[in-house]
Amino acid sequence: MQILIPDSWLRDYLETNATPKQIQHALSLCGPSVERLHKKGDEYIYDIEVTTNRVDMMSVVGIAFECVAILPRFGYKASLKKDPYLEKVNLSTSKKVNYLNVTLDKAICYRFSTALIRDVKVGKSPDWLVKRLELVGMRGLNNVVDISNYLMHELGQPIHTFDYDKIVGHKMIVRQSRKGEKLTTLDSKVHSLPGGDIVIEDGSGKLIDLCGIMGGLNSAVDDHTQNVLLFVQTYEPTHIRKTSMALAHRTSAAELFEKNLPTENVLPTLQSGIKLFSQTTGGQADKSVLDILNVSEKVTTLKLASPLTGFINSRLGINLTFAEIANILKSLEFVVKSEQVVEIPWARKLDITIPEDLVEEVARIYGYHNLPTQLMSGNLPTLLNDTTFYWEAKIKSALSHWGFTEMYTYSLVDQDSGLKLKNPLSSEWTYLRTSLVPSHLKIVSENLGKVEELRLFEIANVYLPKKGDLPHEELHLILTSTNPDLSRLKGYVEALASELGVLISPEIQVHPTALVCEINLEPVLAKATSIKTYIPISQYPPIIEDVNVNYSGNYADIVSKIKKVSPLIKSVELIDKYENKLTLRITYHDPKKQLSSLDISPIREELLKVMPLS
Amino acid sequence: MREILQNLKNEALAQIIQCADQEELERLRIHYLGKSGQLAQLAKGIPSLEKEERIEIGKTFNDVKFAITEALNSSKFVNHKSLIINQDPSLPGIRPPQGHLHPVTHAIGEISSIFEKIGFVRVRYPEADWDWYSFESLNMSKTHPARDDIETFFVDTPEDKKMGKIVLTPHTSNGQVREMERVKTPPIRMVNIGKCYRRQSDVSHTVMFHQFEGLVVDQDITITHLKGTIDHFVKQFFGPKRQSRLRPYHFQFTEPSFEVDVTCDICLGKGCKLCKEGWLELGGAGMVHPNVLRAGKINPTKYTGFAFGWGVERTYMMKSGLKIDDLRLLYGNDIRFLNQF
Repeated sequence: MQILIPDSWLRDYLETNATPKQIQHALSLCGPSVERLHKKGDEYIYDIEVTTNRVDMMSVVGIAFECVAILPRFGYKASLKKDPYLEKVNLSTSKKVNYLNVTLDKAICYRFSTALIRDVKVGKSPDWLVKRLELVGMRGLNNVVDISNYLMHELGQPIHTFDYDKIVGHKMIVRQSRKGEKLTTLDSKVHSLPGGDIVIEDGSGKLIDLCGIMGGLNSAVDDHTQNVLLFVQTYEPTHIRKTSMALAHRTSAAELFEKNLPTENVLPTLQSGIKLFSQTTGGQADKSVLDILNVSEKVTTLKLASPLTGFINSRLGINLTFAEIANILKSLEFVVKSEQVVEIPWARKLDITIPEDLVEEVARIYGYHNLPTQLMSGNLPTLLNDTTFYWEAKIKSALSHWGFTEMYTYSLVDQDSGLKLKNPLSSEWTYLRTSLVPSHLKIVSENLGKVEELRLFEIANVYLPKKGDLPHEELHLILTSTNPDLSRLKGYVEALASELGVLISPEIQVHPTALVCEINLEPVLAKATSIKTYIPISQYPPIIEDVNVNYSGNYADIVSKIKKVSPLIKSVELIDKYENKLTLRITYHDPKKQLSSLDISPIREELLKVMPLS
Repeated sequence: MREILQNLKNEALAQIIQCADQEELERLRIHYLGKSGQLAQLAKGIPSLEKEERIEIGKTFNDVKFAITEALNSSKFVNHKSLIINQDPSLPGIRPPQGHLHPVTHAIGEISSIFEKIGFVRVRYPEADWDWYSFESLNMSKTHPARDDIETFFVDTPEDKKMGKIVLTPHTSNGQVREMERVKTPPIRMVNIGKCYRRQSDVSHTVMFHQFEGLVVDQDITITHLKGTIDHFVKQFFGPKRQSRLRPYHFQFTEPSFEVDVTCDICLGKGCKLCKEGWLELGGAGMVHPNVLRAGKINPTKYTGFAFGWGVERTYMMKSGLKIDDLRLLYGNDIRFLNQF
């Protein structure tokens, strides 16, 4: 969440000698991140990111409280000029009032408070108010609306105002909506409700408020409004969130309510509202304020199983004394009763629930930048017996050095694979792929003509569906080449196989634009080895001779026939291929003695029998 | 003729192998390749052959000549000086074919080696994983709003009663509880690097990206160790001039949680147009939440830990001098882009 806080507004509450720049620096290190410090005229404005757990900081007052805890750690003076929560709430509250008849579903509304303000003069707000709203990016509309916006920004509690005379029968039923009920909000949007939304129905049975999100148009304050119902509530947060998300109606009020606001903030806000109404609209509140509280406001305490000091220090890695820890917590309005018991301030009771939360509070105020830096001592973990990473790196290195360029393509494709996404972002990325080939053919077509020849590779998982289980993620290698020579691509696979110490029988697919060879690395890497067995080097040189043979299209067959002729034939290599002739290099060798032509000639005769020498 | 050529070659090769000194080698060269040597003699007969035969014999002739030349040149008695070609040293070199590794591979290689040096074990966990490992076990219940911030892809398969739906992992944090289950008893020092997916695509987001997740669990692990580990990484990866800092943040699966910043490579922390007051956000970190340890069946009163999970691409792009302004370039697979790495 983002909030803009003008410096002068902050200083309504905060007394400090720190400059805006110094405040920005200190807050960012120990509290909310002040992402930017804008300057508008002679006013500085803090642009602050508030994390979702700290809804208490989504207000001028909330930030002032943080400053009071943080700034002294940096050597600045800081104190509160006025504490809106220490000011005694001077309202005469009652669970029943004569001006409004309320029926309430207690499970969805934690606190229902309202005051009737009579003889309101709707008009322009005073300049100071309009100016402040403008500094935080809001437009002044009329004094009634402006007061609501102003108070929400100052205290972090959303407020709503009804035109009292538009509420038929002066009756309100707070309930959950039924699916399909219609409601038009203040911004003239017509909503068909998903059901289970918190709404208010008036005496005529029509809906007048989409609670916690936006008021109804039919009960809105207008230029002729005379009597206003100043409305301050808290609601069950998950309902608010669900409705706001389902209707895609994200208002500032919804953003706050869905984080679960403390009921303790309601009456102070209401009291400030009554005062502002009287100052700026002339309206006067009825003596009796309606206030129905449906949850407990008992002070929350955190009980620790092990003493606070030891616990905090065990996480911080330093030695703070109990007094230092208690001091830091006190600056944040906590009350440290003992090593075992800490009282949580009401504004934080939803955020601070486990001892680790206290660690965070102490550590950040002490300053992460003040903690020492060290590496772990202790035992090293047992190494994982997985060599996949090693081989992957080896394959990548070999291929890149042989002129292949590595690709990273999306695992999501548009061809049906059996594994479909429920919520794809685009039709191009709808299925999990079972093969890398389509992705590579696509790349080839996109890159044709950009370079002379494409030689590409990728190592990535494919995803094979399994019933009732996660898909099997199988590591594949793909080689793609636009060179039409099949033997070349095959040669790379053979060289790779020899790097890995395994045999790979590649299947090369011939496509109109490229040759592609996809290899399942799972069985390959399971056998891969860097262990080579040494064969003693013979002192007797081999005899090598080249022969020409007729070729009818099956090389493997010719080689196996030749090899069968004699155990002295150690290898047969292809030297050249020209139309229907092959030149083969035959190596004869006997590790035990020097071969002579006498040894070879009978073999040669045998060779003549099995193959057509040319 | 073909037969004669082959025999000549075999005879020559045998003699060259058996040759015993430099003089004899020179004699053999003249005998076979000299102006009036054996091959020159045979060459005279070629023009008178039939056309088809001429082509074939011509080819064989060249092969034989090549084979003999090669054999002479590779003999141990050859005088290498006589073999030097392209004597002009100002001529350009002839390069071997050069391929290119993808920038993400470069980044992953650097990252994993930095962590392996301080005893981290690299692991890999499913890219399509259960909701349990991706969210639920990380202290993010079904209704938790934090889930909405992470735009997740779901796989259209029936839900498992215990494990929930199948999602494309939106972060490598799914490896946390999986690693605890694998190791069972700490110490754990894991670095999990893998593909992640989120429903976002713009200048700084691609639907598929990579993260690296560090997880350390042991007795007496404190924030100082997290700081030390991050500092080690930042100095190694970005260089000794860059600094890191922690700021308070909030994540469901860590408590306390931090945002990690590193000084801007342009201004080195002074503040400039490209950074936030001298700092760039690297990513999140924190002390492992006790509920996460419990989900991994590790006793949180006995063990503590820290974790961090950062984008590989984002981190790599914060390195000095890289200047990639659109993350999508990395997955556009334009060969003219990739050939620059």
